[in-house]
Amino acid sequence: MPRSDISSHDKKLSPITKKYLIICVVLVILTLIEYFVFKIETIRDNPVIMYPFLGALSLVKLVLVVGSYMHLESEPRLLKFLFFGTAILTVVIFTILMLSSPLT
Amino acid sequence: MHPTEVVHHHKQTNTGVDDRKLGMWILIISECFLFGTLITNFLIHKKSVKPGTPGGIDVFDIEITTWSTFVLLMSSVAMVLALQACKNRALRPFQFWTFLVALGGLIFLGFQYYEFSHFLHNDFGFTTNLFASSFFLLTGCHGLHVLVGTLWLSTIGITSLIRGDRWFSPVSVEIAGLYWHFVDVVWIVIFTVVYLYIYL
Repeated sequence: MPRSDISSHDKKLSPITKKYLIICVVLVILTLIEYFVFKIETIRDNPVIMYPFLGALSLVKLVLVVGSYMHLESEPRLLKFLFFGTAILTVVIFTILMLSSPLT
Repeated sequence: MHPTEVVHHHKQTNTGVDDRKLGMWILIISECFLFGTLITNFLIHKKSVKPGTPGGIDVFDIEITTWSTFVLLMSSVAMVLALQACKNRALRPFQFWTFLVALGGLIFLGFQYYEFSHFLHNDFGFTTNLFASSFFLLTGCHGLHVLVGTLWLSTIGITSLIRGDRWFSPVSVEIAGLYWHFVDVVWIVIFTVVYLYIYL
């Protein structure tokens, strides 16, 4: 493609760039929700609602970054299995270790 | 397919994944265990605050941490845009986004320096109590990873400045990007588990 065509075309956002920017906005909104949930005392005083909710928001952010920005969604199954398998294994092993500690 | 999107060309391997990329994923997996250990250590010692010494509730400043989270998220977006520009062989945008990522890393480290100085001012140091030790170990280790990423991306940016459009290596940028996004992912977890779960 001639250079001039590329530069005129680049002025428009490509679909993939749009997708990245939308995910960015979602990530910022989720972080702001986390912040306000933490700041609102009525929610903060209700741990049954607050902690699972914050954990779920964090998980959504994690999946968005890993899936889209790290392109895991378009990678072979081997990588998906390696990453999510290890992540789940890490959580399981360390939860067991933590619960078996006399300090917790 | 959009004309600006470039098809990935990987070397043929047994796994179907470029060996260098697979190597980075394996590093990331081992880092999962490293940070898993540090986070577990923090959670175990969360209540280990000696009487008369400050704990997290006394010193944490959630506004500062939210800002540093925001900076790291923005740098992650800049990183994917840098990779996109590299794949499209657009030199100036690539350099702009790459240096923006490095700047994001530096701002994050600045926030961390400010936070740590504020803590030390309030007698909350590495040896104050077990909670403080595990906190500094975890966040310090993450900060070190941000520093490595910042240096790495600065090196890529400087190399492209020196060599111009003779240097375009999408795989190298993608690998650096994977590392950077992983550092961001770890911070997403730390932000929730360490700062937002402080009353737990």
